[in-house]
Amino acid sequence: MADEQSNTEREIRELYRDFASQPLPDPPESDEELVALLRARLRAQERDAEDECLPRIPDEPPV
Amino acid sequence: MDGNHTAEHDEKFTRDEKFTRFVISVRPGLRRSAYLLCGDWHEADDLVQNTLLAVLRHWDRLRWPEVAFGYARTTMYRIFVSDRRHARWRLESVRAEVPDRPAGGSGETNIADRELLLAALRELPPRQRAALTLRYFEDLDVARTAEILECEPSTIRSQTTRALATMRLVMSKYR
Repeated sequence: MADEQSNTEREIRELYRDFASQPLPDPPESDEELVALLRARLRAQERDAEDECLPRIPDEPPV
Repeated sequence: MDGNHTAEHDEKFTRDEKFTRFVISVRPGLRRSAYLLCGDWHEADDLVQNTLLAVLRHWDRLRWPEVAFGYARTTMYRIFVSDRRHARWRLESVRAEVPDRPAGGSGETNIADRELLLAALRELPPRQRAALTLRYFEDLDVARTAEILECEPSTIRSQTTRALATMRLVMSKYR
C-alpha cells in the first residue's frame, strides 16, 4: 500500500514535470491589455461601492 | 517568477509600472497552475484574471515581489476552492472528453501523458485537486499547503492519500 502510494506520487511528479516543460497556449489578451482590463474592473468595482454608500432618495419629499 | 529584481532597480518604476511588471512575471506560472485546477484554458484564464484583480486591489500593501507572489498564489487557490464550492461547478462532466491542447504541443507521448494527468485530476473533488497540485506541482510541504487551503495539516495528509488512490485507479483504467 505504502509502495503503491509512493509509486503513484513519483509518477504524478513526473507527469507534472512533463506538463511544466510544455509551452503554454497564447493568453486571450496581452499582458498590457490584461492590466488595462484589471484597472477598468477595479475602477468599476470602486464606483459601485461608492454608489452603494449614497443615501437612498425617498420617493416623495418629507412633509 | 523573475527573482532578479533588486530594491534599487525597483526604485526606477512607478506603482503602476511595478504592477505591470509583476503581471508579466507571474502570469505564466499562475496560468499553468490554474489550468491544472480547472482543466480548461478559458476557466484558467478567468481564474488568473480574478486573482490578479484581487492582487491589484491590495497592491499598495504588498511588498514586491515575494509577498505579492505568495499572496497571488494563495488567493488563486482560495478563489478556486470557494467558487467551486459555492457554484457547485461540475463543468468537468459536461465538457468535451479530450482536454484542451496547448498550442505548439510536441510529441504524441507528451500529449498522451498530459491527457492522462488531466483525466485523472478531473476525477478529484476541488479541494483534493488543489491539495495535490500544491504538494506535487508547486512542491510545497504539508504545512504550507494547509495554510493556503485554510485547514489542518492532517486534513491535507488524508486528502492527499485519497487523491493519490483515485489517481492510481484512474491512471490504471486509462492504460
